[in-house]
Amino acid sequence: MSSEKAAPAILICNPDSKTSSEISKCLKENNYSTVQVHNGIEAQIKMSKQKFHTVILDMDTQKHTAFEVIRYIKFNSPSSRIIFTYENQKLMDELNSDNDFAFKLGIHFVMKRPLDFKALLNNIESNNLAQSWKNVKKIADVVNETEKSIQDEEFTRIAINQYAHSELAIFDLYLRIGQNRYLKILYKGCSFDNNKIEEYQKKKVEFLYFKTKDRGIYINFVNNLIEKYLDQGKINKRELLNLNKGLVEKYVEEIFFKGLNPELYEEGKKLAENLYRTIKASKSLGRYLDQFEEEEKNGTSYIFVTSIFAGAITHQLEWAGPVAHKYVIEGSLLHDIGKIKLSEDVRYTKLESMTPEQFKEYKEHPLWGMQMLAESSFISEQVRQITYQHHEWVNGEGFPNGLFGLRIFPLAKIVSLAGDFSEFIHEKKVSPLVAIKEFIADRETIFRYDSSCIKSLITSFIY
Amino acid sequence: MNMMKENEGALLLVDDEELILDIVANLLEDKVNKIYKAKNGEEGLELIKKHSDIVCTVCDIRMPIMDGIEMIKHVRKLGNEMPFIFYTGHGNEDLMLEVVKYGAFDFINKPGLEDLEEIFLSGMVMGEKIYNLPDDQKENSALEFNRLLEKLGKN
Repeated sequence: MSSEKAAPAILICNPDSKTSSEISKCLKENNYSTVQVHNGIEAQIKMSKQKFHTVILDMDTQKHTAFEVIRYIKFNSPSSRIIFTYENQKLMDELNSDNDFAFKLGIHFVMKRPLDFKALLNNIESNNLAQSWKNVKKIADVVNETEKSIQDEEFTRIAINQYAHSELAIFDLYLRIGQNRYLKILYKGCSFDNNKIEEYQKKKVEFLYFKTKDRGIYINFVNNLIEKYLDQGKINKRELLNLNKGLVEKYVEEIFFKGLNPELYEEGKKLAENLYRTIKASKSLGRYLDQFEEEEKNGTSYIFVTSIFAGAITHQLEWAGPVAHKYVIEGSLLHDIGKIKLSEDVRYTKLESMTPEQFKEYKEHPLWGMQMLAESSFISEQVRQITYQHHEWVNGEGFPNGLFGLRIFPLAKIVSLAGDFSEFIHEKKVSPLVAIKEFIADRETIFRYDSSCIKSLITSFIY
Repeated sequence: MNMMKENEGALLLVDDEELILDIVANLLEDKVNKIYKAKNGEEGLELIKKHSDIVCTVCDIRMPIMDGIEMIKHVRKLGNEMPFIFYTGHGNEDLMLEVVKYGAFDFINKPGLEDLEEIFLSGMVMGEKIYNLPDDQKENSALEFNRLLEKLGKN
């Protein structure tokens, strides 16, 4: 795959055109594309039409002040970084009297004018880590594989048949040969050696390993790759679903280990969009749904399968449009985030084996999840409500509020069915096609769910 | 979404900001049979009692005299389960926890009003369906599931 180098776009909002031109010139010389505006209204209009990687916003902005522009960014473009510039030191000292002005407003960097352009570039670059794969330079291929002693906690793994790659290795790749022992098989910048990987597959190697610090890079890379394949319409659907699966696993891991931040949430939105497009493009989705089997009991595979089924159900519902699709898949990816707060013994105990005390704690996780997501203004209310209500049942026997039928948020009903069906498949260890018949046969079970959702689930298997 | 037909039902808009009422009414007037407007929950409740053609409500949370939570509580007490679409905004998180207990159909994020059209259309479709629910829907559903499963078995 040849990587296209799209210049990150920077919006410069400064009432003084001379200053904004100087900033623009510096950025363009460093391969950024820029847009200059001179008041807050123009800034918002530009942002409504185009996504910007960074907004360089001056304190003196008028006609919608800098603070109104910041508010707009927080609601409408939360992944855009904000570099706040100022000239009046006295005013800045007053604003920053409690030393958390930037933190409170969600500003990433504060810089005094006249700007140090080197520092400005560093600040912009530091936001660009996830996309660094686009700038990987080719180095001479290294043939030798080196053994390294590195702590297991520094690594993440991916199934060898799910690993997506470029022509160049975008980071170092390893095999695990023992506790805290790794074999470096590919170096960043070397040509990606497919033959080597195939050889390892023949030797029954199951997983490739890379550093957790590179996980964000991998997520961004695969999201872009899937988008490209969807645009081209060339890849086979099974491979596409496989790529999506590996990506969802890494995405969920990243949230669990690093927490949810605006950039990661934007990756999630892109992932959700890619999943939606994959589902929409799969005329015979039933064939792929049937052949999905959860390979191992880990939370991340369950999330992927839930997202696929949730997307498939939504696709069949006549009232659900693109907006509903978007929220359903985003919600599926995050709906169990509250489980982070469960104690270990509860998290790893099967529902049917839980003591009453354990189950009582378990029933808190939807509310905890909702509260975690409520802390971030960039998360939509729809995603929060999916998280909060995904264990409500239409017969009123769900939790946390025992809502019934029409009172349950419709998108939560979709994720509720998709999640429970995913669990059912795993418990029974059968293919989804076999599982659906058994699932529907249990009248007590099926009346927990919205009937139109069940119909849609069954229909999604028919091809 | 493939249902962009004209609905028979009416839409109720409830907001203490007249500008928002006018903007939203303007955006949706071509897509619905009739729009009613109210400036607070109490006015909205009276309109619902008076006009049985209202099948969906778009409602703000924070309003004087009667807020969105009180309004939906009263509507539910009337036995009316119509879809309520709420405006959300930063700082309303606790109110959201309360209002969903009475059944919020969807949410529109202020100040952007993005996705308004699709959410509103879904609400109207659902609102009209609610009034046409058969009494024996459970049995009908079970029969239909079996018919679909038979079809699945043939694939």
